Amino acid sequence: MKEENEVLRVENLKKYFPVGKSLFASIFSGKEKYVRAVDDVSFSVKKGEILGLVGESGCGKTTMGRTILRLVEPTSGKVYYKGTEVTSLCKKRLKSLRRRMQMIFQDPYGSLNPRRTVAETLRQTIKIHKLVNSKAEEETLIKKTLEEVELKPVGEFWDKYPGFLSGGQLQRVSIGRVLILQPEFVVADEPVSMLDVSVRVGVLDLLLKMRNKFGISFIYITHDLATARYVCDRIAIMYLGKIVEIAQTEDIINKPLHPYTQALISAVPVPDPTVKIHDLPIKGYLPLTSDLVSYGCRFYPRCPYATKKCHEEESPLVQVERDRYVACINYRKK
Amino acid sequence: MALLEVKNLKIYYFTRKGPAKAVDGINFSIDKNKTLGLIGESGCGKTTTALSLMRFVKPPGRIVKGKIVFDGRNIISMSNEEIRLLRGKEISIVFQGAQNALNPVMTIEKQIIEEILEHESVTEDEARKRARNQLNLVGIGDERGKNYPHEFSGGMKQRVMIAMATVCNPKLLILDEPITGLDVIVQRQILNLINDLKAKLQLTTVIIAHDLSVIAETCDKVAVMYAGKIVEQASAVSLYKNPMHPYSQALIEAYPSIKGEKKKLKSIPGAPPRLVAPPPGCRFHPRCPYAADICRKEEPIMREKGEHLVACHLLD
Repeated sequence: MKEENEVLRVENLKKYFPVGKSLFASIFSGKEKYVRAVDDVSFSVKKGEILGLVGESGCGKTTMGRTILRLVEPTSGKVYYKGTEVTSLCKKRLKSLRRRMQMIFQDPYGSLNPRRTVAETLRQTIKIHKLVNSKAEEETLIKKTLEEVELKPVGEFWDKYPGFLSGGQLQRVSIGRVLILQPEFVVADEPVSMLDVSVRVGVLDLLLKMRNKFGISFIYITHDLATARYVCDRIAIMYLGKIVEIAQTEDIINKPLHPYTQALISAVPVPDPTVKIHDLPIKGYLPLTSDLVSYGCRFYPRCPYATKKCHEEESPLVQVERDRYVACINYRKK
Repeated sequence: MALLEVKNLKIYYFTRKGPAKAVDGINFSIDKNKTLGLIGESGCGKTTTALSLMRFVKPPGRIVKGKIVFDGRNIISMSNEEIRLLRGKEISIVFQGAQNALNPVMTIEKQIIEEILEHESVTEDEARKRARNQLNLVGIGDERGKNYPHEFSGGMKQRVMIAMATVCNPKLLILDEPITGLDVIVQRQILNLINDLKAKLQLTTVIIAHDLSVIAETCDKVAVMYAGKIVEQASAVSLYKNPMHPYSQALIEAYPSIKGEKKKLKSIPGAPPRLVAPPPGCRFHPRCPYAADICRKEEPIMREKGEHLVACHLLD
């Protein structure tokens, strides 16, 4: 599976969170209970590629993004950044690597320090990573970055506090804070879900520009297939800690193979009053991750095509076409 | 005949920096059994408009001008007692994020019974029967009536809220961002439920959303709001197919879809104005690609253009 120009490779990544239990239970029952937020996931991201990670809340997409950057430690599995194993690095080497691997957070209102102006925020990043040697260089770098994220005229934003900026502008500042480090890989966690429709596209276009101009690779985490379609080259669909399907964006949108992907696609509301609305092909609700059984397909209780075998056998992610992987034993048989 | 008519409604929030004109002279009406969608960005006044329909606007906000005529009566001049009887009985609302407004220490069946007994003189047994019917109607199942709110997921709680809002057969139902904050699949379930109930209960509905697709899937008529004004009104089909106001056009061009060919999206430059000091003339002119001199000076008036009502100088 190893390819020449891959920037990131994730192998059998697992992140389990222990579920809190009472003192009594922990003494008398030996077995720990876990939420298996990310459960044995493997994939890779190529240079300059934007990979979408799409799923419902609680499917583990955010945990996956954080685990890849080691903002949370994985339970097991490996993450490679350009051949370097990230999961085993010591703190010091991790810090120098962090310059190359960055994250854009969902909430721009909460992820910027309200008591620092735009310029101070960027200055802080420059200081931590010791990017420049002189004051003059620092000013030029900040100016260049603000121009790059289209906060122009720069003078108007320089001394502004976050409280005076709109959501779209704040998100541009936090993108600037990432861009200033010249990263090669960025995890963008729902970067536009809190923004108004009219400014969303601007921020998405900025991500596309970063990719096209600087060749930055992205993992774009979202629950919104429509924006994922707009920015992603490939999309991975997650369900309860597992990737159930991964393929080129238009393939996922136009001919989804996994029953869960099909359900997701048919659920997305369409901005066209003449389109006829269909009923959902699946029933039931998302189960709690802690209640999961450890065998069989996780989607089996809700799947319209489920057979007895789905309950008994694991359904691994297998290649069905070029660039296309599906985790469904029924599909493999066809 | 129109069930609800809003005429020249103005609602200001009196802040220290001066009055914020959240709603500034809007007109619209809804016919019986129809659904009106109010669409716009955050801060455009759509929620304030919805609140005013039940006179829920609180200080520092105040309805300063206009009429809200519901079923022949002006809501603005009603006494407090009259308005209390109207709320929940004749007009009911499901607030945004209302899932969290359920009473955590009362079973949901009890909460629905309470709602019925407040408005109707029926026995408790009768009310219980109706509450259970209602739970079945919204797809929860009466056996879950004995559960407490924390035992339900977000989507199920939204169903409970919709059950409560419709149990007294209101003439008008207002839904404020009914699917915001829910998961994709749950969103679909709630949207289908709304459409289902509209047909079954013959509801007249106002739906408020920032999301074009929610409005497209549920509404007959759409009003586009921008900075406290309605800029365009038309039937949903016509508005999405042939938007006339530059803001409506821009909104539609900025909205991604998973249906059809992948299209290039265009963002709207700038940000919505602050309502304390909106720009003179047309409020959209600083962000409008077609803005001319007249747009900066004179406020456009709502005019009929074919099937649409549009407020734009450039179409005159």
